[in-house]
Amino acid sequence: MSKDSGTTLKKQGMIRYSGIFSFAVVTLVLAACFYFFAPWLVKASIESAGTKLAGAQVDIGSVDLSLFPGGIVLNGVEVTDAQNPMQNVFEVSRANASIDLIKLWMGQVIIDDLSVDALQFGTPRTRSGALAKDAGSNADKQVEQEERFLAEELDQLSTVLPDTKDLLSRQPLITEQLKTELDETYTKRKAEWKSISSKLPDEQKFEYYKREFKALTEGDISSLQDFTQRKQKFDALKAELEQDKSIVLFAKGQLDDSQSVIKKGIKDLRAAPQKDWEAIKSKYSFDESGALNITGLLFGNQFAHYAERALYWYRKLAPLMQSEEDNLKGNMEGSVAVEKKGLGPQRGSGRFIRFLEANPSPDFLIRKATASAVLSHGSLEVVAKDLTHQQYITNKPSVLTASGAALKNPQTLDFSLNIDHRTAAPKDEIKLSIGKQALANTTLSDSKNMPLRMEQASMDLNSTLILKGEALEGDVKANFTQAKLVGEGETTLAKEVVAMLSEVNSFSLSADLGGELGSPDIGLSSDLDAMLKNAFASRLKKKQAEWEAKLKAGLDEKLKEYFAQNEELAKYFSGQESLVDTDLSQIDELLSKQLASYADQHKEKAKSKAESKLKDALKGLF
Amino acid sequence: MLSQLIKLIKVLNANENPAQLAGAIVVAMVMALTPFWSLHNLVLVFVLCVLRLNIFIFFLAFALWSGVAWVVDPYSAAIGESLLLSDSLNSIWTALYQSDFWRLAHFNNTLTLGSFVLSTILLAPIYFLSYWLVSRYRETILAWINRTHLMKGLKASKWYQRFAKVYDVSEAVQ
Repeated sequence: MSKDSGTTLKKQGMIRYSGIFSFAVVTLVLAACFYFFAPWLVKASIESAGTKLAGAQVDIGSVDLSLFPGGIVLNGVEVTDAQNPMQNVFEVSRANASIDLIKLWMGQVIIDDLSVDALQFGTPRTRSGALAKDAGSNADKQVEQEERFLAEELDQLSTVLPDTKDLLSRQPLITEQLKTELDETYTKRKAEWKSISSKLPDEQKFEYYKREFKALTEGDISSLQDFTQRKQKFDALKAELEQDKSIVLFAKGQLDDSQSVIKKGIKDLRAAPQKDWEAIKSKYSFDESGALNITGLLFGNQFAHYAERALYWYRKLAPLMQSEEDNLKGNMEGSVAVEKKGLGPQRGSGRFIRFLEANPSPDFLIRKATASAVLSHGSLEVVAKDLTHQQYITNKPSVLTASGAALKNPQTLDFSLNIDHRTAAPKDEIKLSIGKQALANTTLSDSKNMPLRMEQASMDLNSTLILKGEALEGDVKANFTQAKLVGEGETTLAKEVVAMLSEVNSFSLSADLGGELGSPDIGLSSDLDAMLKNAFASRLKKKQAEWEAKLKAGLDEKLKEYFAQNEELAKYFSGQESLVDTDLSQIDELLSKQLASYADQHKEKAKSKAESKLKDALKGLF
Repeated sequence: MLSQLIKLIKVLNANENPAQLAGAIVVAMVMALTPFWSLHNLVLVFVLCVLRLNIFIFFLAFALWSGVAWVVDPYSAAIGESLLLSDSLNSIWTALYQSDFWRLAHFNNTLTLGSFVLSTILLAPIYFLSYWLVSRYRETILAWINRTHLMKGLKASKWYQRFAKVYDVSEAVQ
């Protein structure tokens, strides 16, 4: 067999020269397959990746490829609005890109020039572009969100000048709090006083002291021994009296303290209605500190809606932008610059590892893109430069500008987006300027009790928004002229508001943005508030004065009632003080008593004896 | 299916040099284990066309090796990853990275490099193993089958004659 094989091999040889022709044919067939199937593959890939990114259907009509020079043409691109599946976010009739095919084979998409024709926003779709699992969910969420905002607004309206009785019953009042505290203090102090007063000397004790002192201080001292005995008893009695005096003094101190505490409590309580009044007034009045925020009421919902939309798109696009910090996280030690492609190697793909090179190129780059956007009132020229998710390689920020002059509505529009993720501290900046935008039939409030719309207005808007990492800052300033606001008010207050707003023909609106991207702080202000306040001033002053009088009377009444029910409170301790003072004066009087000494008593007796003898002797002489 | 099997038997039993079969098997192995759209595969297609390798065996082996690739791919990627991220080889890769050819060949891709290295390592052993197996088959199993009374009887039968005529197996099993 091996002999036969050797013969065959010898006959035919290992080289098949006709194979060169076969190879050429195979190569051509492969190239032809690639050429004919590549557009379909590219179309499917872009649709799949785009759908994943947009969260809604992305459709491409057809794809044309050219090899010399390398280029791709996308026809009929439609990107569905995920929150409104019957509408496109944008639609492009034709997008032509020149691609570096060598780089493309190396795994890099470098587009030197991209031109987009007939870019249109918000175009209707013939069929829904919602993804099967998410269909309807976003729209429902939006409706739910709007309803929540309106409910909050209505709550806000209902807090304006509520019924005074209702307010006094549900408002946490300082008066009520101090009354409770005073009651508790009084009860506690009274109990303490009762305990102390039970130890004070009573009438019987005083009678005993008087009787004892009288027995000791009156009558003759018969002898020195008698004096000594009396002296001992007198001193013991006095010591006992001193002890009682200290008890009385302590009781007096406690009484004074309790009295001052209660007096202070009563004083605070009397002042409490004023404090309550001030707190209520600031919360429920139209004064500077508690103005009805008509700006927030009318525009807050719209701003929240825009903020929500902006955040939605930012969250979708942000992962595509890689900062230097993200790159550093992916780097290995040493000089290897590692570029992770996707989330991890898939079967049959692996991942590309990048190394330092003299002229590095990012994985994806659009050097320049131009688009002509067709708006309902004119066309917009859009230019984008250096669009890449790896700015640390190009060392240039991505810039997108859009401008439209001589438009019908608005008359001018300038937009710029600067995305700078070159360093570890990324900074995105958006600037928008709109001139003479005519607004017609714009709904400002569709709440049931105060529907309001802007029938017409001309708006000039300037806005700057800066995003540093997650920190947000910026402002929006808009001026409305030739405004005509119309609406209906169900409640008296709403009627008044609508009447006043219908007289306004120009106003400004500004929004200060701050906080974090996830929870932005939007501070809305407008001269509408001031206008409304001035217009309402006299009317509200009168109404508020009535309301204030009612409220004050209610507060005073509450206090008066309390003191009427607690008359004892103010008098109890002062009444007790007189008793203590009486005790104290009795004790002092008793303590002032003295016991004469035996020698002094004898001296006194001898002296009086000598005097009487001397008188008798002198009687004989004269 | 039956015709494919008969074709395989014919190829194995034919007078073709085992090197042609073994060569087709290893070319199929490299092409199947490495990503298909790679530059080196174009070279292998050229080799397949120019060298007198058995095309049927190539397609059969390619299908089998593609199944193996599903299992081996993660390991191939891991090999490529460890090689490309190796500090000691970094200067070599960096130097090669400056070459457009190297990058066009996707040798900076973990799977391409890993699977290429793996298949290159396996190339010689698989070639010689295939060569030996084909040779042993022809020398032992085929010779033994042909010597059996059953086969002799079968060959003499009318049924076999008709079958051989239809499927042209007279040379395949001799």
